[in-house]
Amino acid sequence: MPDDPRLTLLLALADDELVIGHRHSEWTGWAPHLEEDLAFSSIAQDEMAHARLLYELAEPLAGREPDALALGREPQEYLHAVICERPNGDWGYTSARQYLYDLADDIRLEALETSSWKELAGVAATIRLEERYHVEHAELWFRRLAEGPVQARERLASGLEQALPEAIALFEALPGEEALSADGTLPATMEHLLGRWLERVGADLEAVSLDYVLTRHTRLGDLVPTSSGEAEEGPTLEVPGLEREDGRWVHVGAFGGAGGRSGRHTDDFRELWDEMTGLYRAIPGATW
Amino acid sequence: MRVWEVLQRRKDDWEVVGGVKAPDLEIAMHFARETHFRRGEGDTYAVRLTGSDELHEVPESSGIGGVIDREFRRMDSFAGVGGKHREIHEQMRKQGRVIDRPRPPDLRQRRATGEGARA
Repeated sequence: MPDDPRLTLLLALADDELVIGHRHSEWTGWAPHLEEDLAFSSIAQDEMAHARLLYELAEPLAGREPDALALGREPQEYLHAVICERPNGDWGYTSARQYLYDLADDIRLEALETSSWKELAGVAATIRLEERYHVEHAELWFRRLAEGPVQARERLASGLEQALPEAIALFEALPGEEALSADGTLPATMEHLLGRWLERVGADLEAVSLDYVLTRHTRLGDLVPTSSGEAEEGPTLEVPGLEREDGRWVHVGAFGGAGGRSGRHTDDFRELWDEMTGLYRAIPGATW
Repeated sequence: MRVWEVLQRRKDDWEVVGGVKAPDLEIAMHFARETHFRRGEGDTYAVRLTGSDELHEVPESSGIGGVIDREFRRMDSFAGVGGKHREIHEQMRKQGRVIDRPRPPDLRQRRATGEGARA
């Protein structure tokens, strides 16, 4: 783990974008239709470009170049949330994940725009200009699939059920988060941001009568990723339960996260990492 | 699926720059932006159902795409990619590494069992 909590924050943000961007890019040539193929490929490019901005900001803290940060680390050194590394599955899961992820990304970027660290605030504002498209895209598909034919709605609901516990873990506390909150680098705690996200997701799901997904949500049990054996045992992993309280959805109970922020990943990431970093490892210093 | 023309404003006139297939106006507007205006090509656009005269202009014309510079979005950045690709492929082959999984295996399996992503 990095010693500097600011570096931990940047790597968590950048790794999320890089890894989910890599997964999104796997749809290129395979999305449901040509126009959507281009749209999703653009989103994949955006996410990778956002990762690059964040790695560039991390360069002086890490003492490593952006490419080395993106492609030259061991799997257990990546700090993305586990949801980003999961295979794409069907379009229902992909849409559910993109919706849950980009809403979460928008909420944390909105908070970071007021960071006391000016450079980070600037990068967050720049990234958010494009994230707007991602949220629009996600919400369009969310509504369409939710209102669409039975099969579309069922696939979306099933994707949401599958993605939800791991999406909550996007807000897993960062190691060293107290220091980041104390000096205003992170203007709101991850748990506070989880509350904002949940409120929005809850309202959206209620609007299309899919809030049963939240009711049926169970705390992460078997879904907890198995460590590849390389990471040290972290704290007890637990994702909170969800309840409707005073007209909005809130989380209750312990929130240990899923371990992604401490470098605990699943075998799905091992496979992705192997492909993503293959060229970089085979030909060190290769330039394009 | 209906076919829509995508138009871009040129001075005081509109010029057709492409087309999209979409079931309705909302998705047509979305696809028009995603396929034609994500790289800073212009600051306003419209769509028109083929055979119709009714022009639907994007309500908001600020900041359409291209806010972050990335050279890989330009056609000329891809000049010579084929040669580079062959060179890398050869270097990797010498190291005993071959790219044997051109597509995500889970999708390939789904297609094989008829449960494709396009279903």
